[in-house]
Amino acid sequence: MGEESSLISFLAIVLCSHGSSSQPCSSTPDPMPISSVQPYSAQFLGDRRMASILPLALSLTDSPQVLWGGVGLGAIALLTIIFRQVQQITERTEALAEKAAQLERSEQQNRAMLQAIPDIMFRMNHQRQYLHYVQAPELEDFFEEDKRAKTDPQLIEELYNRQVAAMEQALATGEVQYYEQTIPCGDHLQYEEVRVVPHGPDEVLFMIRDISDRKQAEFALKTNQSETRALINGLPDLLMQVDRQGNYLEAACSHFFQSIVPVNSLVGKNLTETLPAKVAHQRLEMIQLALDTQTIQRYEFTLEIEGKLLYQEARIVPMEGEKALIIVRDITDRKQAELALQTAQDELIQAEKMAALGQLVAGIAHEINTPLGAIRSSAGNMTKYLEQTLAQLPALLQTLDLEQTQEFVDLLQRAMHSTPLTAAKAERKLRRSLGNELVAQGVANGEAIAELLVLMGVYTNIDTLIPLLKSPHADQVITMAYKLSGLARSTQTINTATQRASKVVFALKSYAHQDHSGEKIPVQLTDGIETVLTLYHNQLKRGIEVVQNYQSLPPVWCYPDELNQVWTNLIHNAIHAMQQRGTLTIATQSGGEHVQIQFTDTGIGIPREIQHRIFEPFFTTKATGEGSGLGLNIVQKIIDKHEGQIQLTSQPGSTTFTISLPIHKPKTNHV
Amino acid sequence: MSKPVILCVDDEPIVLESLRSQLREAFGECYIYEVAQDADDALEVIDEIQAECTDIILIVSDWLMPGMKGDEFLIKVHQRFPHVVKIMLTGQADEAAIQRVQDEANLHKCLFKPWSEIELITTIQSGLAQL
Repeated sequence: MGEESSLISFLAIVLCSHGSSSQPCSSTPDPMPISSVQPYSAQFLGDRRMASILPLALSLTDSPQVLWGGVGLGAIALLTIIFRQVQQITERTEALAEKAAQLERSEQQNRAMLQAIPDIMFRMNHQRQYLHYVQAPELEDFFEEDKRAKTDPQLIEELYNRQVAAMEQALATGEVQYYEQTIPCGDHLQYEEVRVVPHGPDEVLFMIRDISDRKQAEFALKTNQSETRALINGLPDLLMQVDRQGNYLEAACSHFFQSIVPVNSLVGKNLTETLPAKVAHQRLEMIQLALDTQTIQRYEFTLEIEGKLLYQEARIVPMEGEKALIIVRDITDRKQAELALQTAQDELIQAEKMAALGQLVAGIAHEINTPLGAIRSSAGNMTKYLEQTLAQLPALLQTLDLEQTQEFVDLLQRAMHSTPLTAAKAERKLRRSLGNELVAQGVANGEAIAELLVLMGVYTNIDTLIPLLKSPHADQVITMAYKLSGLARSTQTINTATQRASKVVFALKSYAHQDHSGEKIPVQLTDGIETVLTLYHNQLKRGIEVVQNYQSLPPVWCYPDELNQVWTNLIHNAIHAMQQRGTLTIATQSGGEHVQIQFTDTGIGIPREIQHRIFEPFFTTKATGEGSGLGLNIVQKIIDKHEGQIQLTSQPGSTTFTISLPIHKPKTNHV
Repeated sequence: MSKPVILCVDDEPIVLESLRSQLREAFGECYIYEVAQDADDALEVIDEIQAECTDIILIVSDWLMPGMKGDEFLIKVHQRFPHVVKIMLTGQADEAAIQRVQDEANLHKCLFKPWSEIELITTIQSGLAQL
């Protein structure tokens, strides 16, 4: 194949030898002016005999024939002389024959060598006559008609002109001339190298070699190089080669980095000269790590350039010979998108949290207004009690004798330190039985007095009070004691109410809080659960018993605000599943590296066929408007963020969500 | 026949305690002041009072309580004792619940926590005046 078009450039020779004589080609064909070169003929070019003609030329040598011709001429001479001469001639002839044989062998060797050379060779003289050609056997298959058929005659002329020019140059300068030529051949181009070697004063030797393979390799390399260059230019990366010490060996970069990195001046510098100390230090560490472990290191870092914070990602690729390739990519856009996404997610979580809070607000308002009401009325009562007792007490004391005064003081003491009954039903019973007893003992207005005594929390050891209660001033004394001790009860009510209100406000604050630090902190998980239970107190108290089986837990590293939302959603769902009636059991336990928190409700359960869907966003079994369908999806997200797990087991009457969270702060990993 | 009864229903002892003190301050010994911590308890009290042939004349009830809510409770009471004055005292109630009590239990008034003593007392007085 490759030799095909070498022959095209050689066509002039073929034409001369074939076209001018029917004899086999001579090694010294008659010099033939190039003007007699016949026009290109496809039929001729396709003649397979040409293949045999060319090697034939090589088999002919001129010198033996010439010598034998000389012998014939010297045959007519005197006998003696002849004999001697013949003898001499014979000797010479033998010597010459021997020499000829040697030459023949040498020629054969040369021919063999020439044939081994994959070149077309021919000689041309200064008159542009082709003298002698050699063709490698590989060329033989080249004469196939179809392959030659389309060769352009104009091309042959061009090739010829080029040959002539090179020959003239070679002869003029005495130096070897080189040039390359390209010849279309079938569906591809053949590349050839032509050498023109001066040979005597008026003759040159042409050597034509097929260099298509080499050319193609060169092209491939060039293409490869230019592709690589294009690739580097196209990559949004800064590429640098450094040694272990961080000295830049090579650098290339995209357009983006050209504006921020003096890439051309990097080589020869150390990275500590071109980067902020912290970034340089980290990079050196990473280079050494990459080289030591022979693994690619990847990390992200930030750079502040002209007041703008850039996020970048570096890859350190270990290379041969203690060198490393550093690929730096700007990921600011990606980071910003990530941050935006994170913000959006945080906002979604927060929005869902606030929506859940919105549903709670009414109940929470009640939780706060109730103690406020108690405080307000207690304060009013205290004012009245004070006014009345201050006005009446001196007069009342004057009506009492010493013993009665002491009994009054004792009653007061008991009332001040009593714990009033909290159960209305028990109190009512007691009031009745005490009233009956006092009436039986002959206390006038016994029922009314019994009521006040029970309100004061004084309902045992009544016997000691009977003398006072039977005294004529009994009503005033008991009322006075009721009002004076009422100051203490009101104070107690205010204290209790204040604590209640504070607890709710604190729970609200904890719940609504959004931590923007993004850092985990160690927290007692049950605190958060209690917070949520406080907010749900109103709903729970209507008919749900809350059982808290808390095993003491170590502090858990977490995002407490987000976990509050988990507790909220689970408690909310439990209440909904139980339709306000049932038992909610919250259990905690720790084991190994994890803690477990279980929420079990006695509600209707989650049907098996939807269990796998409950964590999907917008999946809800609640009526329109009752649930966003995001609750459990957000629970799942938050648990995932904590690298924890959530599991569900459910059957009618018992549904348990089990959450497992790692206790320890996970180690941060740069790589 | 004993004194008429004013019944306060709330799940919060501190509220009951405060209410009772206020009522006692305002009306003294004119009435018996009963308290109950939820609707069921209250219905039981009412039954007992009835058994003693005592009149219950006024109920002050919370709305949000464990178990039966205030609206349901007052409606139930109204079906049996349409003349009892019914006042709701609540930290929170939805409008529909209040409307329901007005429609179905002839609610005298709904007061909101934290309530003012004057408002409470004048409301009770105006309610009792209708009897």
